[in-house]
Amino acid sequence: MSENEPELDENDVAEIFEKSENKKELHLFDKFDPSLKHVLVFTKAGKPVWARHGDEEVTSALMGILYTLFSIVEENDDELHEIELGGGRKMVYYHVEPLILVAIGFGTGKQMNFELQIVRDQILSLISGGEIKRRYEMNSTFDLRRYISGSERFLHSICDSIETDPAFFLQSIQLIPLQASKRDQIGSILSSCRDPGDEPGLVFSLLCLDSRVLCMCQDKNIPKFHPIDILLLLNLLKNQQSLKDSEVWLPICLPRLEESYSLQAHISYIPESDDRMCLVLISNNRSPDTFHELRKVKDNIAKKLASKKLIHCVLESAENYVTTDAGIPQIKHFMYCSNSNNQVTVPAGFDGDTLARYRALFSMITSGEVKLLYRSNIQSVNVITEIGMAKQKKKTRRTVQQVRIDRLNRRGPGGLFDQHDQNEASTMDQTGDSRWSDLTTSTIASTAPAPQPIQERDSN
Amino acid sequence: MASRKKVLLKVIILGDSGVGKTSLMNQYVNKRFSSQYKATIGADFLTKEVLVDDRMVTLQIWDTAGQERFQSLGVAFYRGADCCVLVYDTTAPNTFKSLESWRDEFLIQASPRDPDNFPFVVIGNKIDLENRAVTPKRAQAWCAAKNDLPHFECSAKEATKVDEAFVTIARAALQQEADTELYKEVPERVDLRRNDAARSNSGDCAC
Repeated sequence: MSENEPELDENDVAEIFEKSENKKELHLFDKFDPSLKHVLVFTKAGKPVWARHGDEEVTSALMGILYTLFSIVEENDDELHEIELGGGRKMVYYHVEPLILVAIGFGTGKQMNFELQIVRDQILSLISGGEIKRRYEMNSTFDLRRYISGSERFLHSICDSIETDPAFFLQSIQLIPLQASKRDQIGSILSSCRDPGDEPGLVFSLLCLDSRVLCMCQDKNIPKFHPIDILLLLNLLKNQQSLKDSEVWLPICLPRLEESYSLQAHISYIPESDDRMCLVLISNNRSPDTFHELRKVKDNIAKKLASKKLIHCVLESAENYVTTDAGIPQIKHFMYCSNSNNQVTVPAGFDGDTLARYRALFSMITSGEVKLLYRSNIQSVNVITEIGMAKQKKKTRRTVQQVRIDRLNRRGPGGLFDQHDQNEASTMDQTGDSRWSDLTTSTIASTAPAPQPIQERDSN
Repeated sequence: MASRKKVLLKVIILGDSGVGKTSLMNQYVNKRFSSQYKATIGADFLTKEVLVDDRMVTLQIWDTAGQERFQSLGVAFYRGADCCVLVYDTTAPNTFKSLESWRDEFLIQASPRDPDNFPFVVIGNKIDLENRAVTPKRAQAWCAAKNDLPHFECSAKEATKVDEAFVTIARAALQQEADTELYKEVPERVDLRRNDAARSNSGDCAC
């Protein structure tokens, strides 16, 4: 046994790394399926919080190494953001005290960073950022993993959704299609049913169907609810079937609105809809009394929905939303995103391939110069045209299909895209409450009364 | 509520270079021993699941480099440790003397909440060798002076008492961890408006 301590010089160090036994850290990456996108979350003490793939023994050791790399850079008063792994793979760091998130996979740094932000948001929705910080500051040995254990499915599900649901990359809410007049009726019901308590806490009402949004209203005095927060709520509904069993009163943090504290959610399903329609009422008053007040609100809303026969109407409308509803036979599929409302509508007939195409289109269009592009087939780009709306704000994300839909909107083909003048004044008239605003009614309705027939032609 | 869940504990192994930190860890986790010395560069990480008093515990063992040239990452490695293992070589008295400074160094860098009661476990390694130079009595006296630190004499080579030492480590860390469970302080009503004021400068606040 060599007992004496050899003094190492740089060459020795290099040699040690060369010996296969010492390369086990490098081999750890081999145990990771390179075709998968990996997400690893650990604390500023290097303690594992969550890993999307891989068994604990491997991920826990890998997190130690990822943490070491981060710390080495931090020692030099710098911050590690990205490491190229070769072959198009990269490793992206996202750090907000006291959490470090790392994504490993293919994609742009920006996109991976965005995904890590959403993973962090999902963790925060389970235990608020303020709570994590307070616990960590009090005790850096704080084991966050214990607080999210049992809730890992929310994290897995949101990672799947990031890859498959267009709502995420467009940062928008996908709505159930519904006649504007019906949606208005629901909107006015939601905004007229308010918390009657002495200290009303209700700040947001959301009505969903099969974890997709029908209508939502919020208190105008607080910042507008962020689409990511609403997607977190939908993710909760989607993955917690037990919520259907009873009325639930649970703390939830909506980090884009307020990450320091949790708010309180009253969640109930409407039996008349076969437990498909769900009402979420968010309160900033955590006192147990608020639960009883919100229960009254819920009863009131359910009663009004039933009496106006809106439930059946919604269930019917939610079925069979297809591309041809838009009335333009040339369109194979479309996705319309209203940037001002952060809402997107996507008819059925949508799969992973379609999404990949949309992603590609989207990244081209958001790259700046390209405003409209046309492809005769998937393989080759035939024409890329600049069209005259480059300087208009909030229209930079329009795709060919979106432009068409906009035209369609102006024309008002009836049915789904009912011409409907929807402005805030009329909302107030209906609800009689200027402090409460309906976020959904103006989704697809247009304010421009210019019913000019537009000649739809093939872009060839 | 949280007590039934699996616990993860961060364990740091410290000591002079060549005392056998990596060997102890390897013996414990992989049941392997190699007599060939190789320096740990920076740190090594291994995890091991262990059942302590009916609780499943995952030990995340951070094996640090004893050599000073690799010591620059002190704070980063020590931060958030649940237990610290101090290792010396029973045949080399100077490695035993160093324990004092390793301990101080750890307490300064990691700055645990309650330094007097932070769980340290002391391991004297290499008792399989004949040329012992640190007596058990001397080691125990030092441990007793430091608030009764648990002390083990082990051989990584022959696996003597290695498992026992690590169970003690896990138990000590677990104890520390259980003490910090009680905490609650949240306002009943969350003020969402202040954000609004900050963002839009609209002065009207109707509560």
